[in-house]
Order: sequence, then structure tokens, then C-alpha cells
Amino acid sequence: MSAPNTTADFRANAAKAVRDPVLQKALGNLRSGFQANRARARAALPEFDALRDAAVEIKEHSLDHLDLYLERFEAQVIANGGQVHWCRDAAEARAAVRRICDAAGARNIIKGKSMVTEEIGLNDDLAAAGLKVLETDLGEYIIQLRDEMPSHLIAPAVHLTREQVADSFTENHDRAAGAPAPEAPDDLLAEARRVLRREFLDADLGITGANFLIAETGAAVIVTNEGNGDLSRLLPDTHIVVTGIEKVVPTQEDAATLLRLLARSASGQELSAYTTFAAGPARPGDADGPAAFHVVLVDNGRSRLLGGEFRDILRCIRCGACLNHCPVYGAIGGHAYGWVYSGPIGAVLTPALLGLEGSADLPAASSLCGRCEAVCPTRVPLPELLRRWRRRSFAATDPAASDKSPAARRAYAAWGWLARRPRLYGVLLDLAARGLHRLGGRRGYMARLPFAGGWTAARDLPAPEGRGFQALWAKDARARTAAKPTPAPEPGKRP
Amino acid sequence: MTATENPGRAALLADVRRALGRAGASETHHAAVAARLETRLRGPIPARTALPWDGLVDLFVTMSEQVGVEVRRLAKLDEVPGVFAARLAALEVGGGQVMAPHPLLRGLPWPGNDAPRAGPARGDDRAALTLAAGAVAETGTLIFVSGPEHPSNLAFLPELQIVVLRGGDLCATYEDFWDRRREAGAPTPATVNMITGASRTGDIEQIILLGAHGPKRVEILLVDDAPQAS
Repeated sequence: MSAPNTTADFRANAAKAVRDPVLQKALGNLRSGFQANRARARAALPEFDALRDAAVEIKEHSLDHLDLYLERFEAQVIANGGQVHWCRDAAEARAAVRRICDAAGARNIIKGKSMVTEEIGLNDDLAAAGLKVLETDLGEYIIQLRDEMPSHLIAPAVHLTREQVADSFTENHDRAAGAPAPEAPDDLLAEARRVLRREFLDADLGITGANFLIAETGAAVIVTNEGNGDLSRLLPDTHIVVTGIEKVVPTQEDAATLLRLLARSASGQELSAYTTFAAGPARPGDADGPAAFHVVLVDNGRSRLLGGEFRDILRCIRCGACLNHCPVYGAIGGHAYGWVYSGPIGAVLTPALLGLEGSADLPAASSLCGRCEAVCPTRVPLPELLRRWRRRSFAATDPAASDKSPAARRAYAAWGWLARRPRLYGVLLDLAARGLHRLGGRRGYMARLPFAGGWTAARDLPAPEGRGFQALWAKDARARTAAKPTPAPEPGKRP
Repeated sequence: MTATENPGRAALLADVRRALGRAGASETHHAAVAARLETRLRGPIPARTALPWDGLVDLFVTMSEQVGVEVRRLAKLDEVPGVFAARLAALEVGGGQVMAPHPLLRGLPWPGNDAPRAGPARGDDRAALTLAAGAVAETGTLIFVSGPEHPSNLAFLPELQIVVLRGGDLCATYEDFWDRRREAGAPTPATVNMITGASRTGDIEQIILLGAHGPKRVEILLVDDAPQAS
């Protein structure tokens, strides 16, 4: 059992998402929020690109020596008084957490936000064992009430409007008779804070993820804005960190470099409100802190990635910038991707973790515009990785079983015939460009196209500038020849 | 840790080594890791932190204000009890008050021995007085270190946190803070909290709201004359 997935229904999911007015309203906030904030934070730090280069070096060095850093990390955790549990797959990780819960006699579990626990389907497993598990990140709490998956790496409830949140609270929260239902966001938050505060105080075990693991000190770095990760660590008797093996970095200095990139890339903050270095249980005499500390290290397909052509994805620090800047994610949201990880990173990770069968539509759903790579703090070449999945998917497809309609195949054949006749191609393209330019009119785009009503239902097609590229190139070359004595490159020839 | 509790350890490490194309780690690999841990190379350090002392204080104040944290500068530590009481009154925060059981705070001239309770916070405490172990000017970040004299939960349960920061504990960067700890020979504490602003969430329609779980408000009392932490 892993988290349930509907990746095979991607096309239907995506089609439904673009026609969902409530979702479209929620997604409309992405541009003004995350994108603008990241741009501001980046502009305020001249060292940003140098930090990205340093981050690539840190992650590559750590991955090259992953076995040694994991061993060193474990030794430090043990020296600090904690324990490390090594888990090859989701089942082993769930079993390890269950063993710790059983040994601690835990009944009430609170959780900080963790994508890895979503990935391994931890909550359902613990609930099946009769344990109470409560998410405490506000977004995760909301989607837990609604029995949904997170739709974003750092903003799991970004697909919801305040009205939907209010409805979920009304369904689930006990209120005094006659008490009004909160509607404004700050009233909704106040109610959630009250409810969750009680749960925090009653909990006997806390589970969090980790953004980084530091080999030097055995610390798990936990980054949040709410402080829920810290309460999950500090209040219960036992703290479990569940995290992927790729999170380990050598030193506190290396973590500092990555931290300078993480919040800026994610939310545009200089640093998130809470950055916590959790290194073992409370020491003798400490005024508070957990009595027991465990780290559950999860492989679940990561070592396979390490040795293959998708290794670069292991540099990902889960900031969510690629989602925030992806036109496809912006149009369909996270749930359409059908599993835990969405957006460009999800389209690369999901086939790797679940298998390409059933998830081949994810890497196909990209215009390869490259914005994801342009904003990635660790320079993961996402478009190239998507292309690699497409190649694999194509190689695995039986041409006879192609899902292309006869009309589509005839169209490809016609295009192929034309493409082998460059002169004719150029003339027709120039004609088409002029025609479409006229169709676009003064607005410069077309809201409707003949034979492509499905395509233009959810978006507009920008109209061409009026001439084809080859015609413009030839014209430009003639102008340059006239202006300069040096010969211009011949039209149609590329370096 | 016995093998039965960790059945996956050897197999997982073998999977990692297979992926790296080697059966074990060579001398070269061990040496590279040892050197990295020993030299603790710094990454690019933001040039905005290359400032003399006064400049760092100004930067710290600017960055703190950017995340909604007010900084008050006090000439003497002895002023803390009076300012603490005045801030509670001005913000109309009643109810439980708690402070870190640190000798520096316990030893302050509390009028009529009316000091806040010293110890970890309880779920219904309204205000906490804490003592920062350090601060970072680069991002207006406060640092707290767990120990017998400083419960970590003071920074997370009450709605109002008032932080005493000694001027000598202000660092330019995170790296400077770690170096100071190492130079002092301090062991790895259970918990180090770097805190930049109040508790916040954007999980409802990306609207930023304060006081998600922790404090709605954080204020700093920057004491100019206080000695450095030992």
C-alpha cells in the first residue's frame, strides 16, 4: 500500500481541472503571490546565482559520497542519544514508524508537514492500526479534513478557497450552540489554532519531515512558517523524523547555503519564520524537549535514481518554485497529476517512483518552456529529464497500438511530406503567418480557431507577427549585406 | 542498535554503493569526506553583511522590521523588567507570563519580586520573556539554544514573545554563529531554533496571517551594554 494514485487518469483530471471555476479562481493567486515574491527576493540578493552554483556543488558532492555521509549522520544521531532506522521501501518505513509508536505506547500522533510521509502513505497505515493521526500544518490539516492529497509542495491547500475551508471547519469543529461560523481568513485561523492547540497538548508522539540532514552534527533541519513542526517536536515524548536519504549534506555551512536559497525560491522570504536544528532527544537536565528521538531514513526508489539518467532530480530541495512558475501547473493545479508530487518535479518523480506505466502522460504534459529549470535553486534540468521520460515512453509504445486517431496520423504524414520540401514549406508558412496575423487583428491573439476549438477553449493563441521566420531572416540578411561589406550568413543555413 | 531492529541498513547502503558504481568507499572517498567535514568551507556570503559593528546593528534592525519585528534598544539590562511590563500593558496582554529560567533574567531587578514564572511554557501562557543565544544581522534572525536554562517551547506557545538580545551576541551571518559555538567548545544541543518573525501561514488563499500556532507578535529588547555569553 502506498498513497493512492490516479495518474493514469491524467487527461480526464486535467480536462476537469481547467473547467473548474473554483479551482481556477484559487490558482489565479499563484502569479501575484509566489512568482512576484520570488522575483523580489532574488533581486534583493546579488549572490543568488552564485549560491545556486554552490548548491549544485554541495548536492553533487553529497550524492557522490552518499553512503559515507549517511553513516556519519547515523553515528552523530546515536552520539546525540537518538536512533536511525534504514528503510528500503515504503512498507519498511511504515513498519519502522509503527514499531516506534508501539514501543512508545503512543495513541495520539501529531504531524508536521512531510511529503515523504505522504509518499509512503503513512497516515492511512497508522489510522488502520487504530492510532489517531492529526496533521498540524494548516494546509495539511485542511486537506486531511477533506480527505484530499496536497496539491502543492509548500502550500498543500492552495487549490481551495476560503469558502471551502469554512465549510470543512463547520463540518468538523464542535462549536458552542449558536456560535457564528467563521468566514474571514483570520477567524478561520483562530478557530484552527484553538482546536489544534488542544491536540498538541494531548499528543504523545510527533512526526515531522526534514528539509536537510547534517552529517557533521546529526541534526535534522526542519523549516516551517507556522511553528507546527516545532510544537510537534517539542511537546510530545517522542519525536520521529521521516525523510529521504538524499537530504543529507556535510556541514552546517552547507546547510546555510541551501537555506539561503530555499525560502527565497519557495515563498520569496529571506528566511522562513522557523528554521530548527533538531539533534537528538533532550539532554539530561534540559528544561524541555522530547525524551526519545528517531530518524526514519527512506530510500523508496532514490538509490535507483542515483545510478541512472534521472540522478539530477535528487538535487531537488522541494521549494515548489517549478510548480509556481509552470504554465501547466498554473492551468490545472496539483491534483490533476494524480499523486503526491505535482508540477514539473512531480512529472519527473512520479514515473520514477511509481513506474512509467500509467504515468506517461505526466512528462508529456509540458510545453518544455524551461521556466522550471530557470527558477530551480539547484539547477535541476527538468525539461531534459521530462524529455528522457518521453523517449522511454515512446520506445516502450507499440506503434500499432498508438492512440493517435487516423486523422492525426494523416496530419503528421502530410506535415512530414511538406517538411521535406523546404521551399514550399517556407512559402506556405509565410502565407499562414500572414493569414493568422490578420485573424489576430489588433488584439494580437485568437480566442477561437477553426478545427481547434478544444485547444482554444481554455486559452488564447498568440497571433504571428505577420511574416514567417525564414522570410524575416532572409530580409534581415539582405539588409545586413547592404549595410556591411562582410558577407552575411546564407538564409536557411544554421551554424 | 541491533541488526534485527535495522534489517534494511546493510541492504540500503549496498544499494547506494551499487548505484555509485563501487563496492565500498576508497581512501580517496574517505579523504574527501574527512576534508569536507574538517574545513567546513563556506559558500558565497552576502556582501551586505560585510559591515562594521554599527552597520550590523542597523542591518539587523532593518531586517527585523521587514518581517514585522520591533526592536527597542536599551542601554542597560536592568531596564528589561520595566519595559517588559510596559509592553504587556500597551499590548493589553493579560494572563500567564513565563520566562526562561536563566540566571541573567532571574537576577534582574523585578519590582516586589514580581518576576514572571521561570520554566517551560504552558499551553495557556500569554506572554514569554526569552533570552537569545545569538542573532544574525543578515536576515534579522534570532537564535535560541535548548538547555536547562532555556526551554525551547517558550518561543512557540505564548502569543507574545519578548526577546532579550545582548549586543555582543549579534553575528553577521549564520556561519559566524556556528563558529562562535565551536570556538566556545559548546556541545551539540538538542534543539537550535532560528526564528525570523512571528508564526505565520499563507494556507488560506495565500493571505499571510500571523499567529498560526506560535506567537502573533515578537519584539526584541537589544541591550547595548550586556556582556557576551560565556
